[in-house]
Amino acid sequence: MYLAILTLPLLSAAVAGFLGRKVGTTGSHLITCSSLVLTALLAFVAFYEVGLCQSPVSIKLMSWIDSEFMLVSWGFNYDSLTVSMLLPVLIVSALVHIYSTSYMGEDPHNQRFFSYLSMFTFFMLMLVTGDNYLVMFIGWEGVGISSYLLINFWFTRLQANKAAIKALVMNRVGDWGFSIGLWAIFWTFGNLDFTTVFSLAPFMNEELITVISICLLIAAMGKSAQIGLHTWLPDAMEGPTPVSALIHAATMVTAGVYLLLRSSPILEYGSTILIIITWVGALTAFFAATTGLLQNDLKRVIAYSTCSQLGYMVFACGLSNYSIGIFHLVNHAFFKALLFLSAGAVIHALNDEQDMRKMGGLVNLLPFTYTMILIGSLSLMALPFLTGFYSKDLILEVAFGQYLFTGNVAYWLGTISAVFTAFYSLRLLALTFLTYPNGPRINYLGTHEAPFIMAVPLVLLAIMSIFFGYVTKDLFIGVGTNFWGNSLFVHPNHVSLIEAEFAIPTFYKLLPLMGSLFGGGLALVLYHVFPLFTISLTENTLGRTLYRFLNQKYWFDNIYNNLILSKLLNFGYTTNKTLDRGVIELVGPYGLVNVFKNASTKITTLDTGFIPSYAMYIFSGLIVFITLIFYVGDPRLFLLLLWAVLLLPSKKTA
Amino acid sequence: MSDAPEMKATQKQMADARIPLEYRDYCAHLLIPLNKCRGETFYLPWKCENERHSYEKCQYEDYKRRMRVLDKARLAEEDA
Repeated sequence: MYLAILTLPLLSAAVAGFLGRKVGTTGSHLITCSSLVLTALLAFVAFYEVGLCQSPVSIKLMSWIDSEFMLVSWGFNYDSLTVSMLLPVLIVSALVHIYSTSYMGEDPHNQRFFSYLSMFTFFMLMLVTGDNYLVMFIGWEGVGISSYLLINFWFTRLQANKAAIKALVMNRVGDWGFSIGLWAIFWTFGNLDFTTVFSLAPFMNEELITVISICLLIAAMGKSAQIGLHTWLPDAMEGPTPVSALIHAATMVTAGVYLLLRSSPILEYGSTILIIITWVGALTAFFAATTGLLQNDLKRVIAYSTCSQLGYMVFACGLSNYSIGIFHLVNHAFFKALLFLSAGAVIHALNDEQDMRKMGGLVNLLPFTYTMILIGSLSLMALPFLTGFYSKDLILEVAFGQYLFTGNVAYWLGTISAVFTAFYSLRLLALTFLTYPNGPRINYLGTHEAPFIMAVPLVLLAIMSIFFGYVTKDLFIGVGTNFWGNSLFVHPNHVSLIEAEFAIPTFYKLLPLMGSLFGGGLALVLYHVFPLFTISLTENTLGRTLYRFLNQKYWFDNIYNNLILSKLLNFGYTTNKTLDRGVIELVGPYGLVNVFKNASTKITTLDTGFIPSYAMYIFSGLIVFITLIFYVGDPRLFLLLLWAVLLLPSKKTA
Repeated sequence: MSDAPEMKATQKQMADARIPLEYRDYCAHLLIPLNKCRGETFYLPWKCENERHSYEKCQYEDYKRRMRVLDKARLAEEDA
């Protein structure tokens, strides 16, 4: 069964991809959807057996690298952390497959799309089930490639091409960190297996642990779109909306967080890295929340929201509260997939319109979609007692409960981000559904609710967004829960859950909630009740500058393009011209071939057909031979001289 | 540690019950039945209320005790 979880998505991807013409559109739908639904059901069984019954499973398929110095095998490990990841990955993937049968129904390349989706799921499963860093890395790269292919699915669109390349390149920075981290781990521990590495981690030098952890953090920052390496995520919204829901909200972007969670036995022994992780996460949460405030593209608002929530997960890891990090990861997967798929329903209904300034008034036309987005938004805002509340609120509490400077910074940045989260969520609802219709009439004429096949995933995700957090809170984050076994490691000195529970003043516990209600209310007032006042805010210099700053995403793209990318491009051009095509061509294989070719040409010029010349050659040869024998100590010197003369560059006579 | 309560759960009991390392403290004897109950009831939040309440009360009392110790240490440091 455990191998079937891996192989079913792979087989369905292969069938839909390679036999697409044979099975047709409907065939590919049936094969991929049934495989993924079956895999999701198997994931529930795995969750029961491994998580609830405390029976981890380890599978060694075969040896992969056996060089005596390095031993790596194709091994898969199912522990509580893995099965907890399987739930969001496979549930959301199965639902997105089902949703896409309708959403992408009119597309001429359905087989390719479903093949990519299943392939992505397979690699994601490989990432979370691998029992060593190298297998995990294969999954890591696989999801990166799948992401590229899916963002670029509509490959005739220039923006999609650019976004896909950008995603790949930005992720490559993270992958670079991961690969150096792999070498650092191997160099330090002599092995890449989780069991070996984690067993040895307590005995290692803290500086080494910090170096390894920094590499892993860079990897996580790339994949999980943390500040500095985040710019690809909003642009990745150029891909089809189901892709955004599956890859850029629920699953792939959480791979970085998963890497940190999985590496908890390493991170816990590096106190510096925990502080760095907390700062990175908190700054990302704040930065992305502020940027999301004034975006006008429906999907980009949700993308920045994803970025912000990933920041929460990362700083939960930095605070050594890994169980809360994974809890928020799972919860977030459900309500964010709901938000994206609902956004897809809106876009679908409005002739692919994504600009919120051209929407409005849809509450009467799309009441079901409105309800779904409302549920997702309220859960995202961490309103009691929805799913998001149980994880997000606790992350802020444990941050405060640390009573350290870093924890306080994380708490305040996280709390302010929570206010902004509520603001942009309600702004999205107001602009899209509540305010007056602002779009062209033609968009509204064909407006229709999502068909049944698209509605079913939304309803299931809505149920998860409401109840999942409450039902599983004791399992994931109950004080002293033994659910995690040894899949997550917290150093006994880093426990702050008790303090978070008992020591925080009520004011600080309630502040995020109060802030969220205030932020949400303010958005409704500004965008629904007094929209003209909001517009007037940008009529002065300060307002306009602030609007531009946030709308242009802190100028990150401009800074990267002007200060880094242009210089790198120039550098690349120079190295290409002077090194690749210059020196390397001269002394490399191409140059060597040229030398022999020229030498041959030169030798052929001796063949003139004139008898006295040949006599001259023979006579000269005889003289040289005699000289060689009598005067040169080592005859090899002569041969070398002869070759040197022949190889001298000469003007071609022909 | 001054006025530290008695450590009731043994290492073996805690290991057998797979109590997480960071929770092998003075309240671990109450965590053992709580986790047993949790496992039997699939960790549902509306189950095992008595066990959970006892455990959390113990943690709360222990937290207050630790704070008292910390206060004493701070006072001693200020006096010195």
